[in-house]
Amino acid sequence: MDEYKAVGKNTERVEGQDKVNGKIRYTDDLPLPGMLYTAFVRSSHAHAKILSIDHREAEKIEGVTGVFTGEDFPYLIGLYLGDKPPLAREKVRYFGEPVAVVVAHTEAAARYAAKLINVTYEPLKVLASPEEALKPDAPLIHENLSAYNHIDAILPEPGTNIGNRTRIRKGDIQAGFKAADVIIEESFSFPPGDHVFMEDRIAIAEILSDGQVVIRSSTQSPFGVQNLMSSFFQIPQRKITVITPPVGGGFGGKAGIQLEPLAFLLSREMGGRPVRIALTREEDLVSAPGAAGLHARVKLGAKKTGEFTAAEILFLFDSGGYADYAVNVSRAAAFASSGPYKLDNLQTDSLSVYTNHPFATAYRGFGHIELSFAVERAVDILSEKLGIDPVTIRLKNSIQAGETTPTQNVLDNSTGNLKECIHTVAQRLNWNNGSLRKISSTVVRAKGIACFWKAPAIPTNTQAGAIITFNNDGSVNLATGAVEIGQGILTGLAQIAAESFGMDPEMVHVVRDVITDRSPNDWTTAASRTLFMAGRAVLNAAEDAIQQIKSIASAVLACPPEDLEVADGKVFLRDEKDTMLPLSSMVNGYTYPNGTAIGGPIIGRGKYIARHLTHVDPLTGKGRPALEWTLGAEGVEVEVDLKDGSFKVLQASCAMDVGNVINPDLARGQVVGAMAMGIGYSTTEAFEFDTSQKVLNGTLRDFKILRYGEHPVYTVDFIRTPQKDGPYNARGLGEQGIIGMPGALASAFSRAVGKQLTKMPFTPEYLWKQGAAV
Amino acid sequence: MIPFDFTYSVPESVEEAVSSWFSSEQRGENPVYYSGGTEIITLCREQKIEPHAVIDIKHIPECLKINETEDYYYGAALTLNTITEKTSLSLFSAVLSRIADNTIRNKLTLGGNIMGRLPYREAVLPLLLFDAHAVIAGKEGIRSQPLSVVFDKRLLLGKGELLLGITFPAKTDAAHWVFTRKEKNGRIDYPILSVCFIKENDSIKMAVSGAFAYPLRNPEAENILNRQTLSPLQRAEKVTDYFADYYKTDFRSSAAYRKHLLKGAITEALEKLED
Amino acid sequence: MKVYNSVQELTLLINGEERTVVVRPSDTLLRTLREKLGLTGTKIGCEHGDCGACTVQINGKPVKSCLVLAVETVDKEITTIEGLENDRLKQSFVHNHGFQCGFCTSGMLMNADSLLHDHPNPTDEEVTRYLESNLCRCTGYEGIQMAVTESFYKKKDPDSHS
Ligand SMILES: Cc1cc2nc3c(=O)[nH]c(=O)nc-3n(C[C@H](O)[C@H](O)[C@H](O)COP(=O)(O)OP(=O)(O)OC[C@H]3O[C@@H](n4cnc5c(N)ncnc54)[C@H](O)[C@@H]3O)c2cc1C
Ligand code: FES
Ligand code: FES
Repeated sequence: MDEYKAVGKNTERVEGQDKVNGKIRYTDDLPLPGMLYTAFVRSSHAHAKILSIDHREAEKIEGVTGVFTGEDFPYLIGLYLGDKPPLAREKVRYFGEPVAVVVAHTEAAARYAAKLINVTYEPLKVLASPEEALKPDAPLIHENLSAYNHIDAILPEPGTNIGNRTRIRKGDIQAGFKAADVIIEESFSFPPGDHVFMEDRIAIAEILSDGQVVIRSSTQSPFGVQNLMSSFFQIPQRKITVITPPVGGGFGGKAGIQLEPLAFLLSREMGGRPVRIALTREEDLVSAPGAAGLHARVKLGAKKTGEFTAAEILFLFDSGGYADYAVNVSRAAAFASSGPYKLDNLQTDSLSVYTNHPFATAYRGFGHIELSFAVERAVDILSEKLGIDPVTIRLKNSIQAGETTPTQNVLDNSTGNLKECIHTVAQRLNWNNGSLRKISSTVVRAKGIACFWKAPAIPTNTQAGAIITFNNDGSVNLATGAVEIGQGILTGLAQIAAESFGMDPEMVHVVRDVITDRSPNDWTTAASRTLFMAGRAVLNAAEDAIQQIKSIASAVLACPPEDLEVADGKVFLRDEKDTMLPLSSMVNGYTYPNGTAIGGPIIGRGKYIARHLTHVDPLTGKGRPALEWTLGAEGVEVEVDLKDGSFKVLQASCAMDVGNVINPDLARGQVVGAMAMGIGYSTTEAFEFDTSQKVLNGTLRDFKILRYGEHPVYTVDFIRTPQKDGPYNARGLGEQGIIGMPGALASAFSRAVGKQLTKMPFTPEYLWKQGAAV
Repeated sequence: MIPFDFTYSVPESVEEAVSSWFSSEQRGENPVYYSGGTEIITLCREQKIEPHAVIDIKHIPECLKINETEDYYYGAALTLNTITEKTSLSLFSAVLSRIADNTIRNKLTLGGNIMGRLPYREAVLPLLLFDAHAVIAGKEGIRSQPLSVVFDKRLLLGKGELLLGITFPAKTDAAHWVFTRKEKNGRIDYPILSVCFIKENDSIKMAVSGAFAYPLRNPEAENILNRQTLSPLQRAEKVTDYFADYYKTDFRSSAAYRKHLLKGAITEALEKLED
Repeated sequence: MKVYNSVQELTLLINGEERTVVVRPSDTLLRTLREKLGLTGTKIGCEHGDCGACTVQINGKPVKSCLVLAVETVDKEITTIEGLENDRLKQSFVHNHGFQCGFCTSGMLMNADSLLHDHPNPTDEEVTRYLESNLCRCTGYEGIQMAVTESFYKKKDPDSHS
C-alpha cells in the first residue's frame, strides 16, 4: 500500500520499549499510600443456603480493619440484569463465590484472617447443566428473577432459570426442510472455561475528601464502570473517576463491571481509604467470571447438490450462577446463528440458562466461537452424509453481498469475500492432496476446515471519541478512550493519526492511560470494534485539527484555506510548496514578526457513533444489531496417534477478509494469538467438575492453556475487500481468529478417529475412546 | 505471599539440623525441613500447612554432595537440574528432566521430590530400579537402608528424621532402559503414567507412578514381565490385569485409560529391551 | 547456625546493587522485589510456579521468584528485568512481536536470556525446554519463537553480520 505513509506499515509498538524493560506500569504496579488489602472467603458449595458466618476470630487478627459479608451490602448489581450481590447473600450459586471479605493493613493479615472465618451451609440441589436447569422441577437459582432490573434488550423468563431468550424466525423452516433431500440433526456441547489473561483482575478504589470516587482498575470498560457505578450507587457521574493503565490481557474477561463496586463499598466503609482487591489466580479462574459452556442442537437440511435449505437451532448457553455478559453472548450467537452461510429458512432459539457453575462473561469471539463449533460440526456431518467435500459444501453456501443475515439484513457491498478465504486456506493446507493420510501403523495426519464470521455485538449507540492537541514542535498528542490490552490499539491509532497529518508515527504521542475525566468517552474496548470506531474518531479529530490549521495559515499566508495542505510537519500551498508555515510555528498560536499573535492552541475533536443500528424484534429477531461483518476461514492439520489419542497440531491457517490492514505485524499477531487460544479452547481449557459441581481444576497447574512448543506453524492471509466506512477501509480482526478453530479442529480430529465428534475438549483420552469405539 | 510468620534457620551440619528440628518441635513450632521449598511455599500460601520453624537443609554438606565414582551418592538438597547436568546415568537424567519445568528444576530438589505430598514423586522411579539406599539422619545418628525396606508408598521416616541422600553401588548405565511418560494433554503437567524399565542381567525391572496413587515397584509384576514364553502383549495384559485395583481415576484421566497406557508402554518396552 | 526471626533486615545483591531491606522470613522474593524494593517489572501471575511471569535469575539461572524466599537469596546474585542488560534480545522481542499485553514479557525475557547464555545457538529442543516454563496468553508463541531463534539474528538484527 504505497499510497500511504504510515498506514499499512509495521510501525514499532508505541509502548514496546517499556514492556521489554519492565517499566510499563499495570494497575498493581502503582500502590497507593495508606492502601488497605483484602482477602476473600469463597464458597465451598456450588448451591447452598448460607446458614451462618462466624468472623469473630478473624476480627481479632492484628491489622484487620473490617470483615464484611453479603448482609452488609444489600445491592444487586449487573451489567444487563441486576442479579448479583457484591458478596453472596442468603445463598451461594456457584463454587468459589465470594461470601465474605476481610480488609486489613497488610495482605498477609487479610489472608490469615480470612482463613479463620467459619461459614456453615445447607446444601441445595445443584444444577449441573442447562438441560437440568430447564427441567420443570428444577429448583430456581434466582427466585426473584421477576424483580430484577434489566435492560430492554434482555428477556429473562421469571419462574424459570432462563436469563435471556433470543429468537430468530426467518423464512419458513417447514418449507425449507420439505425441500431438503437430506436432513441431519445432532447435539454438541462443551463445558465452561476461562480467559486466563496473565494479569489477574484487580481494582483499587478510594474516596477523596470531596467525595470524588477514584477507581483504578484493570478493565476494558472504564466508561462502563463509571456509568454503572453511578447508577448502582446514585453517585453523580462527575464524582467518579476511573483510571485504567495498560491492561495485561483482557479477551472480554475485563469488560463490563467486576471488582469495582465492592472496592468502592469497602473504601466507603474504611472512610475513603484506598482499598485494593487483587484476585489470586485461583480466584480469577473460578470466582471471577469465565467463558460460557454450550449445549446445542442443530438440525440442518440440504439439497442433494449441497445447498442448505433450512436450519433449526437451539443454543443453551451455560451462564453459571449469574447473568453478567452471558445474556448478551447468547443473544449475539442468535444473530449470527447460521454461520457465514446463506440460509433463507432459519429458526433459532438461543437461551442463556442459569446453572450452578462459575458464571460466564464476554469471551473472545462473544457467542460466535460457541455457535461456530455447533454449526461447523453440523456442516461437516451433513457433508459426510451427502458425500460432498467439506470445502466444496462451504464454498457452495458461502454468504455474499446481497444475501441476508439471520436478522434479515441485506449484506452490502463492503461484505468480505468468504470464498476467497476458503480457497486460500484450502491451498495453505494442500487440501487437494487429501485430508487424511496414514503416517505409520497407528499414526494419521488429518486436516479440517471451518468458516467463521463475526460482527460486534454492541449497543445501537456505541460511540468513540478522540482529542488531538499539539506540542510546540508540531508533534501530536492523541487521547482516546481505548484501552491498550495488548492488541496494539495505541500503535494503530498513532498510525491513523500520522497518516492523516502526513507525518511520521514517531511524531504522534498516544496517551496511554484512560482516565474518564479527561479521555474522550468510549463505549468499551471490546467487540473488535475499537480500531474501527476509535479509528474513525481519530480521523475525524485530525480533520477538525487540519481545518483549524488551515484557517490560521490562510490568514498568515493570505490565501484561501482550501488551497492549503498539511504534511511533513508543514502547512503549505498546494501548488507552491515553498509558501508554507511549519506546524511548530502555529499549532499553539501564530505570532507575527511584530509580536501580534493569532490562533491559540489547536484542539482537534473527533467522534464516531455506530450508524443505522436498530433494536431487534423480540419475536423474529428482525433488525440491525450488527455494524460490520468480518468473514474468514480457518484450517488445521493434526497428527494423531490412534493408539492412545495423543496428538500434535501441526499447522493452523487463517484467511480473513479484513478490508485493509493498518499494521500487518500487529494484525498477524492478533490472529495468531487468537488461533493459539482457539487450540487451547478446543483441547484443554475446560473446567472439570465433581458431582457436586465443585471445580476440580481451579489452578493453573491443572487448568491448561497452550504452552511454548505446543504451538503449530501458523499461516495468516489477509483478503482486502474494502470496508468502505472503516478507517482506511479496515474492519475488526481482534477476536475473529479464534472463532473457526473449534470447528476446524473438530473436523480434523473427527477425520483422524473416523467418527464425527460432538463434544469438546478434545483430549487424547476422548479421542482414544471415540477412535476405539469405531 | 505467605500470610504468617516463621523462623528460618540455616544449619550447617546434620546434627544442627536434627537438634534444631527437635527443639522447635518442643516449642510447638511444627518444624519442617526445607529443601527446594517449592512445595512448602505453595502449601504455606494456601495455608494448608502452617510451620513456624523452617529449617533449610541447603547448607548441610551431606545434602549437597554428589559422587559417581565408587558408590554413587546424591545429596537430597541437590536441584534436579544440578543432577541432570552432572550425572552419567542417562535414565536418571531422563526422568528428572521431565519433572515440572526447566525453571522449577533449578529449585526443586531430589529430597523434596521424594518426600513431597504429591502422589507422583517421579524421582523415586529410577532409584527403585537401581536398588538404591536412603541415607537417613535422626536423633540416633545416620542409617542407610534399602528403598525396598524403607519405601512403602512413601519413604518411611521417623519423627524428625532427615533424608541426607541416596546411594547405590556403581552402575554401568547401559542403554538398556525405557522411560515413558504420558500426560492428560501437554508435556508440562503431572503424569497420568510415568514408568521406567531397565534390563539388567537379562531380567527386566519396572517402576510405575502416575497411574497409581504412589510410586511402585512390584516383584510379582516383574515375575510376569520376565516370563519370556509369553509375547510382550500377553505379558503386558497380564501385568496390567494384575494391577486391576491400583489404577487411579481423577479429572486427569480414567482408570481404564491409565491401564491402556500402561499396557502400551509395557508392550513397547519389552519389544525394545528384548530386541 | 544462622537464624532469621520474624522480621529481619537483609542485604541482597540485586542488579549489581546491594539493597538492604526489612522482610519477614516468610516473604517470597517476588513480593520482596515488588513491594519492598519497587522492582515491579517482575510480575505476579499465579504465585504457584505455573506461569513464569515472576521469573528472575539467581546466579544466572532462571528461577520462579514466587517459589523462593527472600532469605534464601542472601549471598546470591539476583537479576531482574530492570537489570537485564541484553538489549539485543529485548529489541528482538520488540521487532518480532514477542509480546502483546507484555505481562509475561519480563519473565519470558529473563528465561530467554538464560537460554541464550547457556546455549548461544539453541536447538529447537533446547528452546522448548526453557521456554515451556513460561505461559503467554497473547502471542501464540510465534513472535517469541522468532525473537529467540536464529531466524531473528539473521533476519532483523542490524548489528548482525552473519
Ligand atoms: C510447577 C510444578 C510442577 C510440578 N510437576 C511435577 C511433576 O511433574 N512430577 C512430580 O513428581 N512432581 C512435580 N511437582 C511437585 C514437586 O515434586 C514438589 O513441589 C517438589 O518435589 C518438592 O520439592 P522441593 O525440593 O521443592 O521440596 P520442599 O518444598 O522443600 O519439600 C517438600 C516436602 O518434603 C520434605 N522434605 C524435603 N526435603 C527433605 C529431606 N531431605 N528430608 C526429609 N524431608 C524433606 C519437606 O519437609 C516437605 O514436606 C511440581 C511442582 C511444581 C511447582
Ligand atoms: S507467579 Fe511465579 S510462576 Fe506464576
Ligand atoms: S504478551 Fe500477554 S501474556 Fe504474553
